[in-house]
Amino acid sequence: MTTSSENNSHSTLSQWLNEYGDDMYSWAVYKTSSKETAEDLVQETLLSAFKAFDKYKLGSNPKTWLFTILNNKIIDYYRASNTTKSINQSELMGKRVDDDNFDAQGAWSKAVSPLWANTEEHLLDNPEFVSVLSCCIENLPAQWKGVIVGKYFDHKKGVEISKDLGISSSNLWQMAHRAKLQLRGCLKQNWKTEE
Amino acid sequence: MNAINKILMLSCQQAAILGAKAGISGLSYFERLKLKMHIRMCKPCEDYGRDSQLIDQAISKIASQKSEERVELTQTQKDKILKSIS
Repeated sequence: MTTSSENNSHSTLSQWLNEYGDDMYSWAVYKTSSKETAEDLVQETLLSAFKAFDKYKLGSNPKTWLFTILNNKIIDYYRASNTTKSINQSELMGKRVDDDNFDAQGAWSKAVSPLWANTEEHLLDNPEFVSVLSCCIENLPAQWKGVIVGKYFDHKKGVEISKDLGISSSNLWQMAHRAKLQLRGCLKQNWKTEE
Repeated sequence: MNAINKILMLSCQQAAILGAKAGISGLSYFERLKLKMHIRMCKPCEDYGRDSQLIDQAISKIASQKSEERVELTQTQKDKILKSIS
């Protein structure tokens, strides 16, 4: 049995979802580079709003209220990526990236060749190339993605990014380094230049 | 790794990490000097630096494109979300 006030809040939220859902979804996709994660975050936001509906002050801007909740969910999402399990995953991937690129002395392994020769302008203007890279970013481990989003999307300083992600500065540099190597490898694998 | 780089105690891997640090937190004078000297003597690192810059530019381009991109929830997605709160 649902009470009438619950019915009431449910229909209000349904209305808000229609009005602001796409804005929230777009923002979450931008901040996480993942449609799947973004959908989950919008869902969690609506659920939290439903549970805390009596804290919403009538007459205040619902969009502002929802976005406050959503932004907290985004922060939580990146913090949660700091669990032992996902740390192990990104550590494992990091090791693989290191081994693929460097020998035991830390010199570039022979197998690594430069990506492109003097075609930069052309590549940046190529929508296909950009979309391959986009896809590569989407497939990074959550924390590495957090580094990319913080640095390139939000233009945050290093200290802020490491605070957001709950990691040390040296960890942050290493992740940024590994993320870039991984993106480079992913581009090499998935972007075929016609030659 | 050649002899001078050995003296400077900077491997290519460490140089690449310094490069990432430079882009995020900046480098000290000595770090900048070490990196510069390493790259000057190391062709693969010079090549990597170029790749790295290109990736930087491409990600920045993606960032500005995505900031204007609007994605919409489908009706199925909306129904699923609403169902979860009922």
